[in-house]
Amino acid sequence: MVNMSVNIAGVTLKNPVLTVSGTYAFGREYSEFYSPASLGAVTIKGLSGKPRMGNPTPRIAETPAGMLNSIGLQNPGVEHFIEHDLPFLKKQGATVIANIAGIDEDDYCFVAEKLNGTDVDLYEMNISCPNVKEGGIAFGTRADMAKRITSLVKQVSKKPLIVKLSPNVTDITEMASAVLEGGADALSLINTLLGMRIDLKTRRPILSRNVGGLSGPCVLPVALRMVWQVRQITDKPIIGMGGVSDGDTAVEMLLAGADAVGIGTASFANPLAPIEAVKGIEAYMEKNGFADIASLKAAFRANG
Amino acid sequence: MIFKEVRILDIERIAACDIYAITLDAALSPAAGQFLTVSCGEGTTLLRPFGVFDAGEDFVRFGFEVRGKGTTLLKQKRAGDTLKLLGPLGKGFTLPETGKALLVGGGIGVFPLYYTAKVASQKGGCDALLGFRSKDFVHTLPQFEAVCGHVSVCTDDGSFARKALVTELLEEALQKGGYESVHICGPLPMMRACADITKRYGIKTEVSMEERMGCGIGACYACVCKVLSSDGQTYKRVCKDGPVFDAEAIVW
Repeated sequence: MVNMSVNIAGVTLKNPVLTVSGTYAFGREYSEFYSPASLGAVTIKGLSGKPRMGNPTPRIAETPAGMLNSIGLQNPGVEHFIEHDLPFLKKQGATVIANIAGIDEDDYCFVAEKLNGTDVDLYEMNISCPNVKEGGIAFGTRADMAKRITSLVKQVSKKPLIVKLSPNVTDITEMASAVLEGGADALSLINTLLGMRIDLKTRRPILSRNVGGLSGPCVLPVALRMVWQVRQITDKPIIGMGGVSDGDTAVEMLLAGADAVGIGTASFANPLAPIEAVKGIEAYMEKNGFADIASLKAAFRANG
Repeated sequence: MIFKEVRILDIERIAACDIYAITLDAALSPAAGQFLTVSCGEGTTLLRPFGVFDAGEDFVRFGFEVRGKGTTLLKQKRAGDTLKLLGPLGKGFTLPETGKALLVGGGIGVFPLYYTAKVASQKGGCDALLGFRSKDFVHTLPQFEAVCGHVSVCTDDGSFARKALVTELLEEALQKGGYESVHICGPLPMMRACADITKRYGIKTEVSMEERMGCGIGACYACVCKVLSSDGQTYKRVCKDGPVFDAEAIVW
């Protein structure tokens, strides 16, 4: 028996695998395949103060070894989540990470304050969504703005605050340092890379918004590299995500320096991917003689 | 809902052009108008959605036209190969228990309408109006004839049956009357034109929408269509809230 538990900013997760925001709605759909309580945590869709409609379609395009999305943060608003979806998740026994995707600084704070009075376990602040005109990308690509929004939200948050980083930057460690200075209790990375596809019949971009966020196996090397780079500059908890699809890629992410691992896109072609990843990590640990996650992580050594 | 690897029992070309049907060794018990998603193989990230063409105790069948990467891979599958299957998915058609349904289909939208006709034949019965581009695209007629009261066929170019759009057949059928509801599946412009006609007759009408999909089960919000809501408009998920919607709710 190996010990799979990890601690993220004071919250114990039973195992290091979680679902990624935007790929799991609010938990009801995938609950037909596995209980949300069987994962370390579940991260729900980004919440704003008021309901958001999202982008016109098409909102998705396949790419080699991946996909693009341009959902546009469609969500029913934080109050609807608290009333209609959170009770279901908690009844199932899930550890819940609420993703906050505000439209502006006030909105981020509003959502955090609304969630303070609930039994959500952690907050994850999305400052890196490339799919909306305002908020999102500006915060995530400028260190000064990232630090500022982090500290504003941290001041009003009564739960641990994870800040989710955009990879669409020149230096991920600069962004990581900025949000840590702003008071982030943990980091999650990476959000999607900015990309596009063009339809050869119409000769127009497939996505209605022209560009969207790239995810899936093709981004794994970028995600691993960025987690590894950020790990060099902090001991704070890191949730690593981007192209993880199974036990093996989850172990790579832990070795790169993550404390927990998110699985998103992989669930679309395999609804059981997160559960299989938990089993895969456990099998690797048993086979290689690691009694717990910390000793697995400690076995990584960079070259040179 | 199941997700499992299943065996291909049969693959056959069912029209003169690139239209095929694959039969899978799976018991899904789908409702009329539901769909399934399948893996297509190496080089694809996402499953592809297809309407349920037919289903029985130990098989499910879907039809497809070769359009892009996924369907090109599917066309090359052989009996004995396996696919990952997820389904049954979505909200299907609501057929009258005792009244007669009118099914209106265009192109490959005809596939889920066949299964719908089969189900309807166990309830109040149905007639079908089927429109195809040309003779090369015509398929599944004998099967429809076996389960429908009456089947009318047209082609855009008149190379088979009557030269007409399916909207003309619809206008004539509604004038004759006797239908409790209309259920439409085909290209979006065709469905829109048909919905405009049925609205004039005040007859309950359902359409089967489609949109590029991600997860297929309602978790990602990629595949939405715009519908009227209590405070204006909203986006509903084609895979979960649909694919069947009341025609009057759609914001075309």
